[in-house]
Amino acid sequence: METTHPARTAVAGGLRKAEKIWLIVMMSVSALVSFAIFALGIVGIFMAASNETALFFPAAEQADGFWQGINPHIVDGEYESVALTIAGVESPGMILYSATVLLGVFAVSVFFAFLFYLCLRLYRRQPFGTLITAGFGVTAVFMIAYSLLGPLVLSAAQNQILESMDIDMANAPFTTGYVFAETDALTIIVGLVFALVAGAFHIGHRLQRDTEGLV
Amino acid sequence: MPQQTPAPIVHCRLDELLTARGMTLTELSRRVDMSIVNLSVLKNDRAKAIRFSTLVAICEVLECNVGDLLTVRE
Repeated sequence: METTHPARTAVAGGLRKAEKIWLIVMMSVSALVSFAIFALGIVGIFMAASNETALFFPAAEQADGFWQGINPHIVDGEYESVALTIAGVESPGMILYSATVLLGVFAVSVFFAFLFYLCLRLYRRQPFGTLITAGFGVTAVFMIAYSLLGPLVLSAAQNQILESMDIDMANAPFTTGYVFAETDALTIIVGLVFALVAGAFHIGHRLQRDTEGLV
Repeated sequence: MPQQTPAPIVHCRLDELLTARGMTLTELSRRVDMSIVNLSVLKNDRAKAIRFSTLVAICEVLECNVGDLLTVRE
């Protein structure tokens, strides 16, 4: 008489089902986010084509008594950045700035598309592969390079734009220059983690090949 | 031009042993706690490697030696 293991089967089946649902949710979210960011990039291209763009600057230090001047009850205050939307400015910096920002936007869109592909591979129970390893590697290199060089290029482009706008920087509520923000540091750390994941997937791919045909 | 001789392969006699014992692949699968897919891979000589634990489990159920299960075919 055949014996079955209902308890073991139920647990294994339940886990597999939960895994599948989780992966389907992740795939859907990744695809949606990728598409949304891609659409944002397209909007950015249209904005750049119409010579309109948004610039972000670190806020300038406020003069003593600035906040008290607004209201004596305000003891102190601060704001970290100033966002400006500009239009109709003719400057070579506009193209450089828009191109750098759009590169970052489209890279995030591609990353979420890659995340979708990773979930699909997990769903098929074949996570290891050359493309996945390369994807993690390229993502790691891009994140580190963009975090280090991106602010530098953006700062140079913004300076060019401001020069052509002839703004009196002494009275402007913002400053210019290279700003290495916390988000950039965080991106570098995530990039390093991705580099480690790429290494792990490289080894995993080799192990997967070794176990093919093993019974 | 010299002719290349095909490399010897390890042949699994699982089919013959099962027939001799009147046992099905499904029953063997249940008794050794292995998937039918993996046993089928082994039976059809498509396996590239086999774990000692798998070998011992199959030999115990079929009451045979490793040499009875696997042979080298030229």
